[in-house]
Amino acid sequence: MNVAIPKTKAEQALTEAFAASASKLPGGTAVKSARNDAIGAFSALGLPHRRIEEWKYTDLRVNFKDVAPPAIDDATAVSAEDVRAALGSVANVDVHAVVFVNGRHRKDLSTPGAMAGLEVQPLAGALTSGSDAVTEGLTTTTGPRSDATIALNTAFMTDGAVVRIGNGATLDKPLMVVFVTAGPRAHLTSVRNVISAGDGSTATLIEAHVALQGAATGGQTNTLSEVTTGKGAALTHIKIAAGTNAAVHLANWNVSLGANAEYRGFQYTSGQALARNQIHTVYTGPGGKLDLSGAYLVRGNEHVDTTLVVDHAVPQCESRELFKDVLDDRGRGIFQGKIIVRPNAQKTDGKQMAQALMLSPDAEFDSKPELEIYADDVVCGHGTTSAELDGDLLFYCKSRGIPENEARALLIESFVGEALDKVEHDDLRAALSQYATVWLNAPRS
Amino acid sequence: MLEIKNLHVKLADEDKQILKGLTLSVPKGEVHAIMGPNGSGKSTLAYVLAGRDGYEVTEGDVLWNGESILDMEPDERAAKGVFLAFQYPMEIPGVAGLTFLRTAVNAVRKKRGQDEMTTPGFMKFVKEQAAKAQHRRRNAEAPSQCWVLGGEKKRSEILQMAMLEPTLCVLDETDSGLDIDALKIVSDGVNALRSPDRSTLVITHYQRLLNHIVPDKVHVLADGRIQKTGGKELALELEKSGYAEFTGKAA
Amino acid sequence: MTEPTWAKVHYPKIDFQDQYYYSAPKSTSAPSSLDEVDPQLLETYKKLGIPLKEQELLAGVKSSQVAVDAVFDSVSVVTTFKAELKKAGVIFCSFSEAVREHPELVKKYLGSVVPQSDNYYAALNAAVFSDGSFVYVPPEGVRCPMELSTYFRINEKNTGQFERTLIIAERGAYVSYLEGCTAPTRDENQLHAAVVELVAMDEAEIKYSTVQNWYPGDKNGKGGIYNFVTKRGDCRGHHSRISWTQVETGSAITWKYPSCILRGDYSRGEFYSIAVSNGYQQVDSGTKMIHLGKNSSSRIISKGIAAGRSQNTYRGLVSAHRKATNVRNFTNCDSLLIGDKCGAHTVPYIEAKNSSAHFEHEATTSKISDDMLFYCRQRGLSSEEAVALVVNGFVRDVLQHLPMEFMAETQKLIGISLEGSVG
Repeated sequence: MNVAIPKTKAEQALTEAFAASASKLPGGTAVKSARNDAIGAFSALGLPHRRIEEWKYTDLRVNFKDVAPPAIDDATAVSAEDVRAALGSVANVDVHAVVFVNGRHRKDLSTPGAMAGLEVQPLAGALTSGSDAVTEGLTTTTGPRSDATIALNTAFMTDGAVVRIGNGATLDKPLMVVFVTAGPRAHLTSVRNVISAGDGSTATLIEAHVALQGAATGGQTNTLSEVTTGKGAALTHIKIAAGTNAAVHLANWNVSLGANAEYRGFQYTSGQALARNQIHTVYTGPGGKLDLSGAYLVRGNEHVDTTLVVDHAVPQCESRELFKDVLDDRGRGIFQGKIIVRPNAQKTDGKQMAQALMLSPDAEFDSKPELEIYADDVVCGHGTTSAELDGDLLFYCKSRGIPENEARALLIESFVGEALDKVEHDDLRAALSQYATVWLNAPRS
Repeated sequence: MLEIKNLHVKLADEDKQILKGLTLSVPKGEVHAIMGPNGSGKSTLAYVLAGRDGYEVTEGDVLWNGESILDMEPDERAAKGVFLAFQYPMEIPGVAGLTFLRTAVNAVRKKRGQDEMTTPGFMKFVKEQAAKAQHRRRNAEAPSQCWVLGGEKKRSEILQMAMLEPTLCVLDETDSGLDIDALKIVSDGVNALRSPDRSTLVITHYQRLLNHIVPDKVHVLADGRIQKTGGKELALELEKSGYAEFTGKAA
Repeated sequence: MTEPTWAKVHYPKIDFQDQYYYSAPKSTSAPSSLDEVDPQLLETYKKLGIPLKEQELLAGVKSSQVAVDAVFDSVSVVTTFKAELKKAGVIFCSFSEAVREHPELVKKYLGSVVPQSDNYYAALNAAVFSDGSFVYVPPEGVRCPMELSTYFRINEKNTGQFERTLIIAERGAYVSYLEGCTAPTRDENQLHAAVVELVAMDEAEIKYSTVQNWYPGDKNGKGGIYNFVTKRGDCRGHHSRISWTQVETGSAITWKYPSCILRGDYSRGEFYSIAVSNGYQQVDSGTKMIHLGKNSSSRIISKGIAAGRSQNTYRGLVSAHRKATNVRNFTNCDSLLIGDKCGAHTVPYIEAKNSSAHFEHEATTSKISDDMLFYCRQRGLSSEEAVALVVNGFVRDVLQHLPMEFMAETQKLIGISLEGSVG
């Protein structure tokens, strides 16, 4: 029984915006055709809503109302100092940086030159020149094909980083791809990164989504990272979404792990009006190791959703997840984590933990960890907890002379710290820790 | 009498030969020790005698009282009197030690054509055997979770051995992880079970256990074969000289 | 309404026009002695190894302390211990009798926990239910003097069973109710869509235990019962308590979520479950703990054992309402896999809508340990005995919550259900 659901204002606006801007989006015939297919798919799907199981707790038909115009050829003036200010403590980490402003590569703000074993190219160029690696990726994305956010990304993507780490290469410092939102007008920004880590390579990649002081509120960012790790590669991937401009942040990571590859993913999210972080990982060879973690700081009316699927499609792989939500005011945290163990994926070892710390009586945490297991020789488990600050610990701290406020901060930092500890890069961990401290000390709304 | 004849064993899943023509016999009433370096095949021998999956006998035979046991299921062997004291004894989560013991005793009795034990009969039997093995009875009464510490699990193995009335006892590095007091308790239990119609095979890496359980013969196992056989003094020699001589030979 | 499709179960479409909604046993008057009880029925009890007082009861042993209201094909056949229960003021009778004798109580409570519009199968039940059991324990601290028990059996070909059970415990009352289910072998799938409603008022406690071993279908997955029941308890009063304990070993498809609405402040809900699936069985079961009252608490322990080609899913919801402060839940779901053709799935939903909710959920899935099985076999147990022992250890935390009468039977039943699961 199919009842035609009337299109929402946002759905209509998105389709219309595509029609109006399609000719200005980068890419040759193949890309154009992929974009047309994607908007067609989106029209059919519509914005996901709570009747769709994966979107039970995040209803975009309700929460995504006003569509900002797509950012195309935006030329907002931004200085290197502005970018540093927007990055805060993370600006001090020694990295090789590639900067995008409102979805457009800015060579002037990026680190000149390159590192050995690393090739970085703006996606816009790759789309225009019809680079195979990129255009193939448009149709063979490892993520769920029927996902509206991915369809929208394909339709509207303007730029991003195409990163290739050579076989056996070891990057001497992290590569940071910075996406800056700036200017007095809100935009719909769609960016995509295509990352491939060669066999036996070792690298750290940081993806930072930040807003300049005074950037318009109410914009949307749609970001997708398509990650492929080769045999025995070790890739650390960190996403920072730290905004101040009440934006909608729709993010996808589609990760494919080669045999014996090790992928460590970490996500930090704060200051987003609505964030949906989707992570879809699949193993393509045995011996893969996956470690996903995240720290989410949520307050006001913010809504942060993490939905991940770990697909153990082959034997002898390991997965670990640790996600921590700190929820204040009327903040809402959502965790949906599904571990699938396919038939024959024997010797799978999968463990998952999602925890929420509720700082305000009006906060809400919804968790749906899921195990779907079709092989028998496995060790899998998940856990989820939701609680306030531990009263006993608080009392203990106070009895040792620590004032209430400091004691609370200490306990919150220690809660978040367990997730931050997953970040192995010392300076970066310190910088993120600093983010959390700034968040905690921010004046209350 | 246990007769192991030219036993060749490889891992079922891997192309790895572990026992390469092991020959050995343990007459009734005797206690033999098998000593050897790590990786010589000691535990493999214990498991093959008990019938564990994962090993493939490619050549040779194992006779117990003249009958080949290699095609028998582990529980059939247990009914025939084969008992393996595990290097790392197991607990079945949620199953109390006494429940496990009673289930095992009755399963074996049934297969031996004996009547199952009633609860009072069983309790009396536990008491007797525990006393015989100088096993403090409270250990048997404690739920399985309490057996975890130190030598408690090993002691419970010895109690099980007494209760199941085996005729072939194989002790697989029972001394590992035991302090000297626990070692003594376990040895006393084994010694109490020495009898003219029981054969015992003590597998160990160290000589110290053999101060307490004095063997009739000592065999040196290295590279999948018995390299040397001697009296109890051989254990003392090994303690001094180590296994280098034998592993050298193997290389 | 349409048939729901969200559960992880697969079955051919049921032709609801093809079911006989009501079928009475051939003899319509209740038997007064054992001679009048169908000997085949007694044989079935015997085969299923029910060493319980229920058998004695059927044989007429008056000293037994279990009251049985046996439901065979929807019409009560035997009812016992009326007098003793009456003395305590407890009403335990068939639903049809309750409608006749206590219409005011039925009217007041029927459908108050599970409204007819609740779900597809509940609606079907509300429309066609013919009989069931009714229990009323009066207020002011009355403890029902005995365990109440009902045996359900599906024995008419193509008969859907649509019992309705309503249990009310008034203020301070206590009642323990056992439901045992057995069904003889049949070729065609039979549908069971019962509705059970429990109401616990202030400081009342209801314990509801189920052992379900209906026909699971043959080894090729043909036949077997479809068990789509709606069970829900309403902890309506403060300090009320409802505890569900279930042992599910039978049925081709089991689809049930005995739930608690924790309305009263300081109320408590418990769910203890063992679900064993073998062959081609499909189980999708779990619970809902809806915390509405302040300081309410709940505990969920679920042990799933999947063998053969079966699929075994735990699905559960724990939610704390915005105003339900200081609520607690602890959930533990463990799954054990026997063989590589089965599946075990865990789908919990945890919704904390206020900060003082303290929720803890943990789940594990693992294979039955080869080392442990070998250890047992070295000690003389056959492979089936070894599996039964390890599994009974695995479910121990739940077994403890079953009434004594059911424990030994359940341990045996688990062993029987897993026969042939290891080579």
